[in-house]
Amino acid sequence: MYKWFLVSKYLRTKLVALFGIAAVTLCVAMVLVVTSVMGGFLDTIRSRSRGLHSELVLESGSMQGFPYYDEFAKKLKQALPDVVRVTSPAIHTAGIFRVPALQYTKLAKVLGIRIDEYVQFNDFKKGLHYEHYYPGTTTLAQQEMLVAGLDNKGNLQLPREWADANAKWRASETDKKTIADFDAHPPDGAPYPDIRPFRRTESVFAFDPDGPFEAGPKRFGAIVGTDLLFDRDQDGKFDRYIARGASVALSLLPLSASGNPLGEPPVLLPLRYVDDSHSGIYEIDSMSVYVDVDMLQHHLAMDPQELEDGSMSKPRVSQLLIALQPGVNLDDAKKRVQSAWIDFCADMADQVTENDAKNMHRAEVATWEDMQRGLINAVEKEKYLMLIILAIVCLVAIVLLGLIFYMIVEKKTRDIGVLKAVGARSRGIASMFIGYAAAVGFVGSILGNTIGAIFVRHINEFQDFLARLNPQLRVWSPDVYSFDRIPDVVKTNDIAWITTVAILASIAGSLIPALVAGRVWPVRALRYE
Amino acid sequence: MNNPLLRAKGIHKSYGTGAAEVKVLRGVALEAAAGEFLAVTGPSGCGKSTLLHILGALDLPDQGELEFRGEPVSSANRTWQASYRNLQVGFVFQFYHLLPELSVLENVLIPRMVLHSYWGWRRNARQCRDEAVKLLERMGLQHRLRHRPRELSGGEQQRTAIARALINKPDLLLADEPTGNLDEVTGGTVLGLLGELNRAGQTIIMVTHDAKVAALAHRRVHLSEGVVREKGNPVAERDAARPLMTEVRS
Repeated sequence: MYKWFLVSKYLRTKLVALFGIAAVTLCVAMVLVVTSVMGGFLDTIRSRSRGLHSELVLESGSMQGFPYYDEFAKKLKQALPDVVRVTSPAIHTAGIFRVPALQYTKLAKVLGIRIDEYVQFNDFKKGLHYEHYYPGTTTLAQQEMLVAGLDNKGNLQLPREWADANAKWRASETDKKTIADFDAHPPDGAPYPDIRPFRRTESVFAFDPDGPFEAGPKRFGAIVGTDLLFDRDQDGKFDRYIARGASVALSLLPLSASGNPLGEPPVLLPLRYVDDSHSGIYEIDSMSVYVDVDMLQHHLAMDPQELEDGSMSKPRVSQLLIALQPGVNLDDAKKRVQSAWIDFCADMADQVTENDAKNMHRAEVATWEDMQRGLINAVEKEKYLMLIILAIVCLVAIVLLGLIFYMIVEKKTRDIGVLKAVGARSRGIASMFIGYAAAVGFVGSILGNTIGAIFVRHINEFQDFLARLNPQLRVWSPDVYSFDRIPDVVKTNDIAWITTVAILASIAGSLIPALVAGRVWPVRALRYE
Repeated sequence: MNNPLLRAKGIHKSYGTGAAEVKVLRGVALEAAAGEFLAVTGPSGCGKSTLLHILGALDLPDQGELEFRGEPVSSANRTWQASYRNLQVGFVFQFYHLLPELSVLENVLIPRMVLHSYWGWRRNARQCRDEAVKLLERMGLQHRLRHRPRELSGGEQQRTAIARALINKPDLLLADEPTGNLDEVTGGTVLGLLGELNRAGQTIIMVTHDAKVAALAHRRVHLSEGVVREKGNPVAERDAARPLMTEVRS
């Protein structure tokens, strides 16, 4: 019993124990912060990568794409119905994005998609801003600009389509505060045209007091990566300074089936900004513009073209997105689809042109992990490197604890003699100091985990606070770390293993001093000066 | 002496090696009967404390054997020796050696805590506390239960140390210069307490260099040149030393 009793006494009364607890606390907090941020970084990359890609992609190795994708999709569904759930073609190319009214120009990665199919493959829909508050209104098809107006009483009146969609969202939204925030700001009366919009907290409309109405001409829609178009304000919210439906444009460079520029001036494609996509991965959100795949295919001359012999070429795409049936093993499915593609190419060998054959043979099946392999591997290596560095730091902490306990044992030598004089055994004395160390480790772990968890949970607010004091203090740069926000999730199993390691490390640090304490002969301890 | 409580035979102890070796005890033979108050006297540095430490199994002799109720002590294993220190022997030191972080009551309870496991203590804590409080009342310290050692006078600290030595009801109380660090009045109080304990049947072996203090014992042995010799007429000298003993007042 005396061991428990003295450990609790020493914990409360010995100042030097506080140094041990402080050392453990700082180490635990540091390890938890680094593990949570790096682990969260990796998890976010994995989950968002997964959320942005289909499970499998038949990927063209070249910008001119590959043909016969529709035929292969049909064959896949027939040959592997237990593996393939749905397919959809996609095109990706480079372009120049422009907001004409602002003369704002940026290099963009243009993705042609069928939005109704694309949202079945991944979490793309979750990242759409207007689609959230006005469900069902985001489309890449040709459309006019919707302009809000005022009714007879001077209240904002949205176009019918928007008003109905917004009512649908309000009915489904369970968080009343979100709705209150949405409604918080009254109209500012900013006049049409689209660059001086009416603004609510979360939405920006083109506005004309005589509205609502639709303003032409009809143009295809474009969904723009949030960071490509907007900046964050001090509260971390995007400052949407152009209205939904505003004119934007893409300049594209069509390529022939052999990959040569077609010799014409670049295609200037006027579009309407219909929504913005926020995946959370900066590299994607700062580059991507999503448009309709059929429209893009046409403007890139990847649709059927008349050949010199009078026949028509086959349409081409850059990717065939493939969603799998539930429960199908990803690697196994990859092998089977790849095998099916090789067989398909072989079957088509005598029917295709030389250029098409080359483009088909270049295409390969990849998993969503393969598509992000470079980034995932880099972050994994970074995480392991950090853990190695932390292991060294922990070793230093163990040595520090060893020294602290050596000091404690030195200081308590006479007490050890007294305890032995009243019958304490060597093993009991040693286990008392080991228990003392375990208690120091436990208390330090609780404090460290608490401090670390609070810090991680509020790490973004902390960074925003620092940035408000001085913009130079913003340590997390989204263009360096891919994500706009620092991962702030603490996992219970991280806390569990860190606590276990901290207690074991504390015990390890105290082991030698504890054994020394246990072995000391009573009379020597009593005579110790 | 038939069936002595404690018997030491041919105890040798030396410190240092080679030319620096100091032979402190050179074949000490000593016996103490149950209920006896034995004083070991001798000049400073003659090895009195060393002998007492060996009798209490706080140290081991280089040679010789110590028996307690006929059981070997020095050659017993360490677990047995620890149990011997916990249950059979109570030790009172010249410098009290109380644990500074603990209160008076907690210091007294420590040997009992050593005796019990965690669950054993949970079962017996109340009874142990009651016994310790009674013991401290007997020492005149009932008003000091929650005080820390640094808040006590020397005499109070020594009485706390005596209570600690007695909490497990040992057969033998070993006192190493129990008044050596106290003034005459306070020392008298402590001696009075030891006398009372002895009259109640407690066997005491006390080491002292003070002949007047030693005179309170039933029997005195003198340690000199590493061996002990019986000394004087204990009864007559004891009566002469009576005024040194002061009754404990609460």
